[in-house]
Amino acid sequence: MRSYITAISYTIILATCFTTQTTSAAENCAPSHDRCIEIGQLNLELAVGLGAKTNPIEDSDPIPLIFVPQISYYGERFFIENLDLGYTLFESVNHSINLIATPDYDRVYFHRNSLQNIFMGNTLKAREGTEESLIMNEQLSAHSSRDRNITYLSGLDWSYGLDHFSMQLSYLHEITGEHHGNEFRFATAVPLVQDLWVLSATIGATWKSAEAVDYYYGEKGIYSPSSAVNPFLKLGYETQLNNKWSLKIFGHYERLDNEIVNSPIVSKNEVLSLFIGGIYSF
Amino acid sequence: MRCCHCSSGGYIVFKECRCGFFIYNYFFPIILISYVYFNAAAVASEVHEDRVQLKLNPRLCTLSKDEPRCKALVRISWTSEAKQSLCLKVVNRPDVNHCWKQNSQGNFGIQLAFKNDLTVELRDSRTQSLVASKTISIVREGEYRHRRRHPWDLFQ
Repeated sequence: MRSYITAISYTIILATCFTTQTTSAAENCAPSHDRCIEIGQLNLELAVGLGAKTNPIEDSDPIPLIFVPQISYYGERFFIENLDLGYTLFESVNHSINLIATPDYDRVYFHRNSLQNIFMGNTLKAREGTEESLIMNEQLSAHSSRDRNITYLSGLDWSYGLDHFSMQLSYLHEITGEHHGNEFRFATAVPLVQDLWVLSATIGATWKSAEAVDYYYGEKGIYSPSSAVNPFLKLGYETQLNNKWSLKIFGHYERLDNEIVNSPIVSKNEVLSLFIGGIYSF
Repeated sequence: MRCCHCSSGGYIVFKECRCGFFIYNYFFPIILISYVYFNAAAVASEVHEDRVQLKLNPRLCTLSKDEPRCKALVRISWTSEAKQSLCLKVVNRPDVNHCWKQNSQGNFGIQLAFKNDLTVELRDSRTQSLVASKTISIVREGEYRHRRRHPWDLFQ
């Protein structure tokens, strides 16, 4: 709670300091620049292709990436990027500091497969037939009805960009009253080839506090994980085909922390996402 | 119900079906008459357009967010296959009025300031019927800002 109050305090201070500088920075944005976006315009894109994201939860099917809508709207300070809501405190040509609210993405692993279904299979890591496994079975069954609700995190987000190089750091706190955990998100994207098409590599990591990890992967009386760090690597290729269509290919590999992998409901130590398809701009 | 079946089933059931009767006796004639009418109108329009060629410069005015109106020297020129008496008019601008008597071409330039699209017309000086018309469109640039960099996101 104290950390959340601290984050709010910093936010208010930053808002006071930087609010007056936002407008002048926006004025430098040329319409022809691909990172500039028109204020007050709803932008809708649809990714259509073949892709999937593996699911680390035991006996869970991969999450298909076939039709993925991308919505964004930018006001003078307020913005929406898909499920992220934000308010820009400071903006310059290269930097921006935003107060954001963003969902906790771990829930996607549970959305298609309820815990009831997960526990129907042999998901226990204790040896079958032993007394230990029978106790765990009973305890897990008792908790199997526990659902992971939609949770939102809020906090500060800093991003830096120069052409196709970009960096992002977010500090977030859960605000929907489910687990009160914290999260750090960091990523940096580096262009490897920058021509009519762009090949880029992104490395990053997500740190989750013990409360956040426990909410999704812990089970009361059975498994209580501590904080976890999930590093990831992404390779992406993108080229503009015409003024409406662009081609996008990416592979995203995320290594799960042992605190998550050791959970009795998790069977994989990685999450792999692959996609090839077109992005259509409406 | 029969009609629905008929319309999807094709022409085989025409004789037995009331909607087949309708299509055969009313729908096709209406389509045919409409085609002839609109085709004739299009041909007439082309002939009309060929008679007088009106040109405007500029055709487009782009305003930045700080510019409330477009200020431009509008150059108007026209040519005709036959000599005509025409008057130049600008919609919603009664102060602009310039006429030619029995000419096959004309040129005119005027400094104008306008907030909305500007429509220039050539009208027959006697009957006031519209001979040709062109519009200068106004495009207003929106305000832009930097999009948030979000490399952490899967699709960014």
